[in-house]
Amino acid sequence: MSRTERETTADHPQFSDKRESTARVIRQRQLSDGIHELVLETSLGASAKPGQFVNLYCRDSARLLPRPISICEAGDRELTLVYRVVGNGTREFAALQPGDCLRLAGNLGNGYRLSAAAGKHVVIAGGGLGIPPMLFLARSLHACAGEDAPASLTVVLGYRDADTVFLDRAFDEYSKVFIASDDGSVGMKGTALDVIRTQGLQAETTYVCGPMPMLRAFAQDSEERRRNGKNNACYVSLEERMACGIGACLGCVVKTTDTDSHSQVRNARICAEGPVFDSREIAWGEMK
Amino acid sequence: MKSRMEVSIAGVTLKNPVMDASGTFGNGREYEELIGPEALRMLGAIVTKGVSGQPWEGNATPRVAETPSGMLNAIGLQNPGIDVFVRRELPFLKEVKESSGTRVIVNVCGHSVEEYLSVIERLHDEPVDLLEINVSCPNVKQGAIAFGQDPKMLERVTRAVKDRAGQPVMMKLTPNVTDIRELARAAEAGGADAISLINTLTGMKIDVHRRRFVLANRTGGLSGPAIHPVAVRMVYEAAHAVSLPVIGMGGIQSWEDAVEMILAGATAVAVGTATFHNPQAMQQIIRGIEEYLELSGVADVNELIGAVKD
Repeated sequence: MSRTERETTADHPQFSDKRESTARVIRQRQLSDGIHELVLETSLGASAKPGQFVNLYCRDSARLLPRPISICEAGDRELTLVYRVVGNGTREFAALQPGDCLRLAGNLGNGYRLSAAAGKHVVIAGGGLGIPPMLFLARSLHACAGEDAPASLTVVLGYRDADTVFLDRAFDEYSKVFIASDDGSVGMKGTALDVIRTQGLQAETTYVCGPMPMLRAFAQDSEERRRNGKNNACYVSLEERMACGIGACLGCVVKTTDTDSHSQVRNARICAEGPVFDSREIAWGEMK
Repeated sequence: MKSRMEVSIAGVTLKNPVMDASGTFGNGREYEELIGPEALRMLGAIVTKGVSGQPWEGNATPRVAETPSGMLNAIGLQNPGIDVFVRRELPFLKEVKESSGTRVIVNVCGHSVEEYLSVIERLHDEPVDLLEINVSCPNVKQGAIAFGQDPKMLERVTRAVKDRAGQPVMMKLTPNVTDIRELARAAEAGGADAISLINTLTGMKIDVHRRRFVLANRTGGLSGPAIHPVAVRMVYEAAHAVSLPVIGMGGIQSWEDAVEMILAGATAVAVGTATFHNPQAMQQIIRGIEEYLELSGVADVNELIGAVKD
């Protein structure tokens, strides 16, 4: 996707479904150590797209900034969020009980471009906390039919070790699934990219969400494939510390290879132009 | 009939005394998507994000961090420059103004006096009600705060801006000074029509586990409820040092905080960081002030300006 093609919803407010609202907790459970699954009753589910996120507001106003959480699954009247408890804000969410209410803003960000999968051999790669949004993506691509359907769909999940595994069975109904771990205690030893290489998986379109080294490795791999004359596109989902989540504060920018049309400099807003970018748009050499 | 919420700044009437604090609200358009057109048009004024002569890249990321009851930011005044601002953002603000009476205040920044002037001249004949001159951003190395910490420099910049401005000029002051009154007087001496304060307090946060600065810029501006008492004190001091109208800001998150600022001497208030926590904070503050006037039998919000008693 080139920057000229890309437009934010701010350019077309009539297509925007962003809103602040209150959701009710349907249920919450722990999936593994520190990883929670929160199911919310909210009409935002009906219009959510894979790769988008919501901002959850803390009840305690001493914790001012909303917490951006990726959408793991969406239904007509519900959203499923899978998050890690990392601080006081997420600890507050972890204590929510069925029937409790919380404020949120959604649906934020651009989401994955499903049309890039049409007729292609597709690999979805998720690493650690990057895995949850890939479930919604896998289901959505699995549901694509006819010309929109991928030629093949494979999911690769990367974990640190056997103790940090979650959502590992959730993808089975949509795709063949490979699992990798850093220490080999579950699945194959190595990274998600190692799995693609050792298994010789066909990857014409890859969708990646995970830690920065993983995103960088996939972006480089995609670049090499293209250099070798192969048709390849790689879409990465980025994260950054955010304040507003809607493109107003310019807190969460990423360096881009070309001048961004909104900013007029080489900065794109992760919350508005992203969080999903074509890997070619990102100035990887300038990222820490 | 004049509404009891109306206030006037340098001859510009605001339908109520509540506006956003520059940089926290984009150029209004971004929040309209979230809060809707009616809520946006409730505001007394929309203050734009800082606009410079040329596009500015801003600082490296991370640019924001949460702190107890506050946040640090070091955006570095990233903006697309005055040409794109006029072409892309101003038509929307003009429509908002014409349809609702919400005033348009453009925040102007620059690395040099010439850059401020280039922005101001470009806005000369545009539908802008007031100019807010940012001489107080702690996050850019050249210009900005350097102009705002030295009374002589501030007076000189104010005079230069006033000479060329097509609209009334409001100087935005930094709290990162020993005596805010000196700066308020310098702005007045330079011919300012109003002053706004406080900009953010310079702060720093260190990640003890990684032993690194949390912000790429190392320092950032502290905002949010944590700074509110400091802001009230400085607004009080500045308002009593000069005869200019004061726009008070700093950690306002409720109507009580807003009224407190008005009692300290502010003619109007700006709400910033609270919007991140509650996108409808400004609308709730407007309704809250209205109810407070009603319930306490105050006929006009202007009666509250500087009305704090010993």
